[in-house]
Amino acid sequence: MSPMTVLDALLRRMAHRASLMLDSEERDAACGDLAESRESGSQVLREVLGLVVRRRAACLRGWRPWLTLFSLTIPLSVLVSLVSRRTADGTAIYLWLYVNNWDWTLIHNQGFWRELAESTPGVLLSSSRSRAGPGRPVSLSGASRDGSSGLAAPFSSR
Amino acid sequence: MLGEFEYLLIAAAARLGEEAYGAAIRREIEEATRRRCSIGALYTTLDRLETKGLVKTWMGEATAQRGGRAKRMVRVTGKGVQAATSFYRAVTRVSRDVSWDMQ
Repeated sequence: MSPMTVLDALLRRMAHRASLMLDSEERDAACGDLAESRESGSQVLREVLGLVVRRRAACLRGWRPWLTLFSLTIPLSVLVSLVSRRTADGTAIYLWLYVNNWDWTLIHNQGFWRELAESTPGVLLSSSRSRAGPGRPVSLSGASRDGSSGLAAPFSSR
Repeated sequence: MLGEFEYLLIAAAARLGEEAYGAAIRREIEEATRRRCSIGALYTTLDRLETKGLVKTWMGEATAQRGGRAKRMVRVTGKGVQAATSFYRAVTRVSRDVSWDMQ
């Protein structure tokens, strides 16, 4: 099999893959037309891609996709990116506090479990950052201030 | 008013009659204009013409020559004939007393 034949077969395969982006009836009609006209592999690929691009571009002609983009997609994507960043920040702080200051005695401490139960929803809802002041080790240090939790010992001793 | 390519497509389909389908129309246009006619341009224009009610399309039979794939058959509607006639008359009127051979 010559390299040109292999290349032609490869291009036809790519054209077939691209044609899957078309409606089944249109794919049948277009691929049948191209088979009938005995075009080369590169020409078939170009024709199919041309049709796919035209179909995709046609979707952007109306006002609805643009209205959706500016009224819904962009505002929501900004909101999601802000929320995910805050969630990541809050989660990272809590994970660092728990992992870096871990002490096995904590698991016998009721204050630790209470703090964990209180802070977990905050982590999940990314509200921990807004409740904690800058530079303050979130609510774990708060637990040590009121003396109700044994968490002060492992944190203050390091 | 029709566009140039729309007119070519309607004229080719009218000329082919019962045998009007994608590949045949494409061949007619390429022979008439001596230029390539892309499948993308053909099918998007067909859709536009069908939306305007100037042509009617439906899926025809599959043949072995086409790898067992169906044809998209085309028929020009009465409205399409009117639009093509109007376009042709406009071109004829505007071309009156103009001789392109001299230029």
